[in-house]
Amino acid sequence: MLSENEYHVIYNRINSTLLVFVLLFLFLLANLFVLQVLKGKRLYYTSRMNCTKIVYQPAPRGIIFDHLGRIVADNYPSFVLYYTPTYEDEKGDNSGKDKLVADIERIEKIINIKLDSIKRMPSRGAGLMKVVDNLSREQMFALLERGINLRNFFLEIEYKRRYRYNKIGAHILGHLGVISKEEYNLLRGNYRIDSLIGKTGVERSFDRFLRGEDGGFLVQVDVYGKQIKILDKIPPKPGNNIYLTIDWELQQFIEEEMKNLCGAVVVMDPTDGKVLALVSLPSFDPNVFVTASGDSSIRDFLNDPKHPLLNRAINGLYPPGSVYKIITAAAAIDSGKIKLERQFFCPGFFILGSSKKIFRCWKEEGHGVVSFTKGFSQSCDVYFYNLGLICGINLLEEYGKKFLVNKPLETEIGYVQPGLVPSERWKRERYRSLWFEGDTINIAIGQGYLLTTPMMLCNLACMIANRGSLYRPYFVKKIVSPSGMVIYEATPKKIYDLHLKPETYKIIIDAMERVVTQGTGQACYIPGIKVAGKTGTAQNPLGKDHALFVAFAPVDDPKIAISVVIEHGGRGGAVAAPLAKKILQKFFNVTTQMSSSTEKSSTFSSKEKVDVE
Amino acid sequence: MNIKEVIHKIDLTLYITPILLSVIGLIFLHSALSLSPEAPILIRKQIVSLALGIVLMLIFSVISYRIYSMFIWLLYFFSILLLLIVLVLGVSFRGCRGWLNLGIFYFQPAEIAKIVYILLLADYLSLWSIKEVNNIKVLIVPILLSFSYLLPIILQPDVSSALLFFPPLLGMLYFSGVSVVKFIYIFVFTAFLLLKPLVSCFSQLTPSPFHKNFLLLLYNFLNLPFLAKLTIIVLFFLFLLLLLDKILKNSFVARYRKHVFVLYFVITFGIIISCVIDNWLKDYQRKRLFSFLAPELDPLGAGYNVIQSKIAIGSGRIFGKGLFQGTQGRLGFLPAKHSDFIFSIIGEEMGFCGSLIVLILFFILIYRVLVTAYNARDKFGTLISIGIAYLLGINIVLNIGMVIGLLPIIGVPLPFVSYGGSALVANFIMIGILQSIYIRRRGY
Repeated sequence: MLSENEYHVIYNRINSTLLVFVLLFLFLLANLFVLQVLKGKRLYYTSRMNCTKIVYQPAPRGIIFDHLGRIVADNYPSFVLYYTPTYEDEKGDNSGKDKLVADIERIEKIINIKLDSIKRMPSRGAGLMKVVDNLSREQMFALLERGINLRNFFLEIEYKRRYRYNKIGAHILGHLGVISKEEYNLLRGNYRIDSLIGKTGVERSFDRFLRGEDGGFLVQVDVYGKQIKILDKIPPKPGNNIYLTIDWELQQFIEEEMKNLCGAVVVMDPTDGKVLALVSLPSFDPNVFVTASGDSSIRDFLNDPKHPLLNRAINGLYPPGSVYKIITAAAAIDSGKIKLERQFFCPGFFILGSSKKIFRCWKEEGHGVVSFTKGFSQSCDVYFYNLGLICGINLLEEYGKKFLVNKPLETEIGYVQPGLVPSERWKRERYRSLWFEGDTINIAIGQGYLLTTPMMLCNLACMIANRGSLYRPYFVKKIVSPSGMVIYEATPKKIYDLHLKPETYKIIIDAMERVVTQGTGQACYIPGIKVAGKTGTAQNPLGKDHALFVAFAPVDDPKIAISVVIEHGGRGGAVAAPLAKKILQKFFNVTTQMSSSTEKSSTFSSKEKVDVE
Repeated sequence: MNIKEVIHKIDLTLYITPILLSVIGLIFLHSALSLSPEAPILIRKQIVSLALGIVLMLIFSVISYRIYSMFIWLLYFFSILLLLIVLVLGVSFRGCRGWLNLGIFYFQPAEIAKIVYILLLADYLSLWSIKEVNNIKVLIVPILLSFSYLLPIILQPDVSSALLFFPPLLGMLYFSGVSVVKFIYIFVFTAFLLLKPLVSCFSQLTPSPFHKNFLLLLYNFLNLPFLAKLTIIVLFFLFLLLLLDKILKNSFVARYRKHVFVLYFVITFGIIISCVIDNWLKDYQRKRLFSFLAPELDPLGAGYNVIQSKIAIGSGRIFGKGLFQGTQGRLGFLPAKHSDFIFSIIGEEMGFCGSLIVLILFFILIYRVLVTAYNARDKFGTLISIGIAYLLGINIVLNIGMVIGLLPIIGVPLPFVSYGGSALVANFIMIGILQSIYIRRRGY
């Protein structure tokens, strides 16, 4: 037995032991509370992520329409064969794998395609997986008819991008490609490592709108990734549809007329900045970027020395040639440096001051006595050499920049390259040499170091047509969700004004009209429609001259502005202007028909409707 | 005796609680293994062990516990013998040669050794009164006995089982009257035992600059060769001596001077042994320490178990995912889900409610054991009960602590609930012995 004292000690120590255990258990309980109640939600989702996996089904991309609702880019259904193992198949031995191989071989016979990589897949890790895609309708039906006993396989429809008009408008629409590492890191969110993303054009700028939301199968897996069961199927959400401002009929017409040529054409509505057509040739077929078999074609496009993937309309830099005389003239007139009546003599050449260097006029014989009207409409180089000297390079530089020649522009199909307006300082920095007067007079006629894009040339025409205002060029009219809700509707935005004197505009426009009626641009004359334009021939050291032409019509109420650049086309008046005429005829043909069905048009005389057939 | 008397005499809760826990264990064992092919075999084995355990529990309740006193040395030699035999003839499982193949089932001598150890210590310590027991000459025997058990077990190597020998030792020593101060020394000593391994682990993480300076100092000190360390320690000791003698002449401090010196020795001794331990520490043990400090740094390797276990338990939330509907356990994300991590399955499938119920059941069990200790007729019985209380109690705390991530992975199972035949049977034998003590308690 124990003594009284010992008894107390024992009693106390048992109590303290009990206390220790109470405290320990409470401590455990508190931690359990933290884990299960406080952190429980987050850990629950973590556990779910552990054991679920998504097998993705890509969403059908939004459809792209032209301004009349013609479908330009849509999706075509492609059939995909999936394999899904059931748990009972995996018995740990090879029986499941053998069965899989036998089934695959049967399928191979039916659809006539070899599926070697699937046969070599280890059975242990097999979950829901794609066996083969891009099956045709016939193959799909063949499988359905003859593969009834293949219970682990099923077919799904997936959608692939299709460009209905192949090469037409390829630079506007752009093409797709697999997302790059930089893009993936930048964009995150809705993209996966193997996502297809728009790389150029509208497909790229509006990729977020077009791509929709991928769906897929939610699969429960074990720690080896082996599928236990399919928990859920989430249907993919199609992308939003885009309506372009482009008139596809016009676009197609232009590309066909330019079939074997290289160059660019930009057609805009000057009153609001809508782009009606944008052509860059040679072009490419964006469909090859979507099919697996297109890899060789892609390589062909990349290796083609004519660079079909280059968007010449916004990235092609050309010397503007005589088209630039518009700017030289505007500089001289607007600054008051020249009177219209002032005359110069053109013997076919011009001798520059002290250096006695000879500069030629395009017309060998010379134009004789020229004032502004004749000098502009006949595009007399000598007249403009004089004008250039009178203005001086600084004034020319000022107006070149005023006309946004060297301004970059961000558009919905890409970044418009800034052109080049040379100056004394520029030449010093770039070539470490002095500026000569010879450089100035070259600039005056649009040769020399000057560079600009066809898009900016069209903007130039727009600015003149609008007597100063420039509206932001846009390609997308509206974006509509699959359910029909309008998500975005374009509003024209004025982004610039030339702020020239009103007389300047009148003088320039009159002169441009005379180019078409009496001058170098007569090939563009259309009876009944007042067209204003300017031809250009850009000297090109590597071959034949480039042919250029800009125009807008009708003069009093402009509805269309065009710029045409044909590489190695020769003379602007001979090659570019006739093309512009065809385009204008096509455009007004449609307009005339449309307005005749809605109202009696007062802009065109009734004689018009017969002529433009 | 009629039924009423029997019920008064025995502690029914002491029988029911473990059986209830074992049944719970069986249920969740079934859930955890439902998707793996070997499930039926394991469940069958566990049921057989349970049946055997219950039978043995009843038998041991009837046998008077005082008999063990008489045969204690026989039991001791027998258990040591088994431990030595298993080192030679035993079967290896998970790198540890701890099982004897007895034909129909495997038997783990370490489990039986725990019981004999408790009986042994209880018998020895019951001979001394509180005053007598604080003598080092008395205490040397339990320490030697402990080593004699620890050595063969560590050689298996089974560090986790060896670890479980300490709680009953400490509990029973505390209980027989060893002064609290000595326990503080022991506590401080064990705390410093892990110093070197922890510091090496920390140095692999990237701490903030402040920590780095201090840790760098400590790390460099610990890595010095033995003689250098010894010199520094002795010098510092002399400095301490000087400090306490000359400067702090205050009588208040002087009284505790002896304790300060002993503490100093304890700490330095602990540090030195910790350097030794650090050298012996195996790679996987180092990894366990590492994964305890920062499991996120190696989520697929060292930290995997504890991270998955936390996810499993936490994802159960309040009411759990439902029986047989857990995902972490059944789908294989949690290793050892039927043995060491069975509590995670309970937490996952029955939520906070389930964890609470299991904790309450365990607490009731420990409580009843302590009631037995309180009511025992003699010191022998009390000591046995205390030993069992600490053995089971700390075992539970270690397992659940490990599973929640509060402690490094130690590899101890959850009593009665975890899968494991030998452990289950051994635990039921202990319950039987407890019942035997309770039946013969004071007043009866």
